[in-house]
Order: sequence, then C-alpha cells, then structure tokens
Amino acid sequence: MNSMQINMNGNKNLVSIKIVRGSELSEAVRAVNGITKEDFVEIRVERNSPATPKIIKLDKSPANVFSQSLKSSNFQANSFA
Amino acid sequence: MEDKCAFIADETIMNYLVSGDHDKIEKAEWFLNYLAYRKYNKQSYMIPSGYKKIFNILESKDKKSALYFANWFENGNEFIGEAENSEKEDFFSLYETLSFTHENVFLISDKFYKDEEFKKKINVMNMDALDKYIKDKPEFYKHIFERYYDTSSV
Repeated sequence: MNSMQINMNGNKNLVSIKIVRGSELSEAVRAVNGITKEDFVEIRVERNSPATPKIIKLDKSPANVFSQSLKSSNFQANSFA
Repeated sequence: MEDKCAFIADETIMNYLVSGDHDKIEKAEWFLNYLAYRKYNKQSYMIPSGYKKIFNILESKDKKSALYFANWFENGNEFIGEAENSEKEDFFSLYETLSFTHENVFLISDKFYKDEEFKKKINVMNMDALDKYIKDKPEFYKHIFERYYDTSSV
C-alpha cells in the first residue's frame, strides 16, 4: 500500500471540516477540550458520528495545516492552473 | 475593527500554496488564516467552474485537503445563475451580486490584476496587495505572528 492509498483510506470517513477560533465555541466546550479563546480548532464530522463531532486543537496555524496536507499529497506547482 | 468585505478568488491562492516558494506559500497562508480569524464571512467565493475544478483535483487525491478547501472557499453558483458564461462574465456577475450585500468586494487574482480593462469594472488585488491589506490589521497580525511566526523567543 503506497502513501497515497493510506492517506485516502485514513480520510474516507470524513464528511466536513470547519475551522473556527476558540472564542466562537461555548465556554463549556472550551473547558471540556482544554481550548482557549485564542486557539484555532478544527471541528471534524465523520461518517457514522454525526452527533459527536471531533474538536481538535490546532498546534500550527490552520492554513499551515492545509499547506502541509497539500505537500504530503504531492501537489506540485501549478496543479490548479 | 473587522472589515465587512467579501473576497472572490481565482486559482491564484491555491497555486501559491503548492508553489514550493516559501514567500508565496506564506502569503497564501496569511490570507487563509485571516479568513479563519475573522468572524464576518469566513469564506472566499469562487466561480463554479474554478471551484469544481480545484475541488475535484483535491478530492481525487486527498479528502482532507478537499474538505479544508471547502472550509475556506465557497462555490458561488447560487449568485450567478445558470447561464453558460465566460470566465470573465462569471467573475463580473459574482462581483455584482456580492456588491449588493457587502461594503467592499475584492477579486484576488494575479492574472486579472494585469488586465487593465477588467480592473476598471472590478476591485482586483494581486497577492502583494492582499498581503499588505491583511497585515495592516494590527490585532490580527499580532495574533497570528506571535503564535505562529515569531521565532525570536525560541
């Protein structure tokens, strides 16, 4: 199995990803997940788990997570030209 | 204070992200971080043909990247009707519709920034102008720079 297959299989259950700031979450959700108002978080909905989205605190900037994801998927210069 | 503008994007930002050029990647990242940071309108609009093309390319390789893209970019199909228009007509139509409900609308495009005729009708920013525009917002700049780019304390 090559790295691309692993990547696709690992993400096949993803339904949506939403990036928000901690300040946009309720105080209760922040407390439970150890998130400050200044943090960025990824709210991830996966298939078969609609009622319990995962809330993941991002250690890098959200855009940097995205560009790293593009890099690991081997997108090259002018891929979208 | 947060601005109330809307952004329209062509493929420039996505091509900067995969350019392999550190400065270009950083400029694109600053913009997407700005969208994530602001409360008003956290997405940039795209014309349907551009949105579908990029989403399909991403989805064919990596679902996570496609969903990250969908977090930041919105398909503007509901704003421009169903006519078979040219790319320029679609951008103009999207711009006109968004101008009804937003204080300012900017098209981000290195390609159209060079088109003087097009710039007479639409506010176009290239990536350099966009970079300056968002870094001129002190609270945002401080928030992102101190958390993710300032290496002086490392």
